[in-house]
Amino acid sequence: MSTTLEITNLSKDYGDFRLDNISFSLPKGYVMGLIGPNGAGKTTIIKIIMNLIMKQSGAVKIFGKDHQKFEVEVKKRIGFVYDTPNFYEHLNLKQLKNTVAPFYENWDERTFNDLIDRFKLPLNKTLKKFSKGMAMKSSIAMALSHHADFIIMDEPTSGLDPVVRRELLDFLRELMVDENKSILFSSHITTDIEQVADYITYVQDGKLVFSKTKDDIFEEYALVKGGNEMLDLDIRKGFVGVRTGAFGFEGLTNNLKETKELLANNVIYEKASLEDIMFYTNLNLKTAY
Amino acid sequence: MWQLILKDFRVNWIYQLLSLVLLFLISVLYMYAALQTKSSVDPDIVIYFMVVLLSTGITSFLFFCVDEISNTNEIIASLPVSRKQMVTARYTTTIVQVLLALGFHFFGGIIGAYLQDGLDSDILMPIYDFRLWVTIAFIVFIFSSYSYPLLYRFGLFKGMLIIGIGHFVLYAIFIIAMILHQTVWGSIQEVIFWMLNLSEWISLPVFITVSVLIMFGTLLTCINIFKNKDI
Amino acid sequence: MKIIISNASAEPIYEQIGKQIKAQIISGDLKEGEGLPSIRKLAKELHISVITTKRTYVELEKEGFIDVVGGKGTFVAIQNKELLREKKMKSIEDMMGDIVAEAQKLGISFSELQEMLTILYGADE
Repeated sequence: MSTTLEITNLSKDYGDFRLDNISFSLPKGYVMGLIGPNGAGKTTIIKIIMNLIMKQSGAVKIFGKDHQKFEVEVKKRIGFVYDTPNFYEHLNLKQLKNTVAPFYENWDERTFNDLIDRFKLPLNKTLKKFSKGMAMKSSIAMALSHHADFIIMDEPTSGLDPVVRRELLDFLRELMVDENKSILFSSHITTDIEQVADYITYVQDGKLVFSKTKDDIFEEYALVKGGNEMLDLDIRKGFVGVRTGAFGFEGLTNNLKETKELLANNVIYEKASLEDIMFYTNLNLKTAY
Repeated sequence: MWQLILKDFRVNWIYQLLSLVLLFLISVLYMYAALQTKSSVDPDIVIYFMVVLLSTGITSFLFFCVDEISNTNEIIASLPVSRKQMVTARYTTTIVQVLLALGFHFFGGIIGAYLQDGLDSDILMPIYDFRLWVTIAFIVFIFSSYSYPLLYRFGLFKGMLIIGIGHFVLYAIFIIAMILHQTVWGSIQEVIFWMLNLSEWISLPVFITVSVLIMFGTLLTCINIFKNKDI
Repeated sequence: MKIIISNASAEPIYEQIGKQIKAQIISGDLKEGEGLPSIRKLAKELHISVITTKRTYVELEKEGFIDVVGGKGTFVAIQNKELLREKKMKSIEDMMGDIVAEAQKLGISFSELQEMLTILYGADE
């Protein structure tokens, strides 16, 4: 299985924020969701991958090649979807296409027109008048019309209404029927990631919390609910985070098997959502300081 | 690479056209107005070339400004291009823009003079003197050569500020020097006339070689600055 | 082929899918040699991860229900009907074992249990 993206010991120091020794990799043919609270370092990681921001140490390999040494070669095979449509807003979509298309040898006019039809985008309206959803869709159409093998999206779903978001997710699923494609996308809307990602990479405060398959995460993590009398110090330690109330506690375990051995049927276990995982991990970090 | 160059003209043609039309009108109007008062031709033509020099210098940064203000570097850099290509393309479009600007000034000047005086106007003599135009181009290229590294290093607004203050200080020194020593202005004029009186077979190749070398040198500097810059 | 998965269920999704495919093979709804959708197609249709569908197919192949033919696709394994039946019998036996254990915990006698089974099976009429 070849690797589309391989990041090793990536660091970047901004003084007030530090991306600290991040490593993860994405095999070919899969979708990876990059999650974390705002300001966790998601955009920084994506910008470093795209060589928009310079890394200070570590290595980034795309399709097995260094992202700086083979910058142009690698970027030809990347479709990048930026979160804000910062492209000359006085142009219309057709002019934008005419500007971008010559950069790609593999530009496929038919694919582009199909996508425009599918997304119902107007070619002759200036980009300034596009809604956020339309801008995002045009950005996607631009990124997918040169047969890119690796699609990188920074917060593609934020600010979109639920209907458009679902359309986008369906579209990504369709794309992944082709086993040669890979997708990396960041979002703080964890439900979107939960729906399409195969791998989930979670960063917080510039540090990697985990990078695993979704299946593994949902097998290891679970919400545990029970009476407060069950919570002794040892049990507490076993949780990522715990919240107690007047009538009982709710905690997150990242080792469901062990917790089940300890607490057996005296508590209830529920599937933890990514949001639960983020919430309790954040809680844990806050108390650690 | 050529897509990057084409991109500037394709995307920004409206700004470019506006700037060129503006330069053209400046030349037409200046000539027309200057000849109407029929004051002595000499100082007017010096001021005219100063105006040409200044306006061409300012519009040479047109594409850089548009890209910085509309914040599109991020998108451009995500396309399959290297930083080196981005800077080289910027230099190329600057050269083209400067040459176009001088062309529009040239025809603007001729038309302005023609409207007032007809084609046998005395003032057309220096306008037809292509050595003057090459000299102006030379000065503008030197100007952009030291300005671009500052702009790439400090960004548009800080960079412009530094260039502005730098020039102000430089002029201030000149003016103070001129006030203190009456001979300074005379010697500056002497140098200018000496340069103008050089045979074009010597001055033009020297100007062109020097500006090419300086531009190439600062191009490398800019590439190095831009290569390590976060966009 | 019909597959319905529940995200609310405690049962892992790969098991849910596996069970349903198995049931359809045993019941004969999925015929021997019949093609199954690719893992990517299945993942897309069910809105789940490719990793999950891959796992299901790996397990089903291990148990001998399906054959994955590289480059061609995935097919219902040609297999002995007797063997299938035996496998199913074994799983019924296991479940009955659980029932007996639970019944013994509650002190239900063999005849009481037999009576319950008779009623449930509909054999008393």
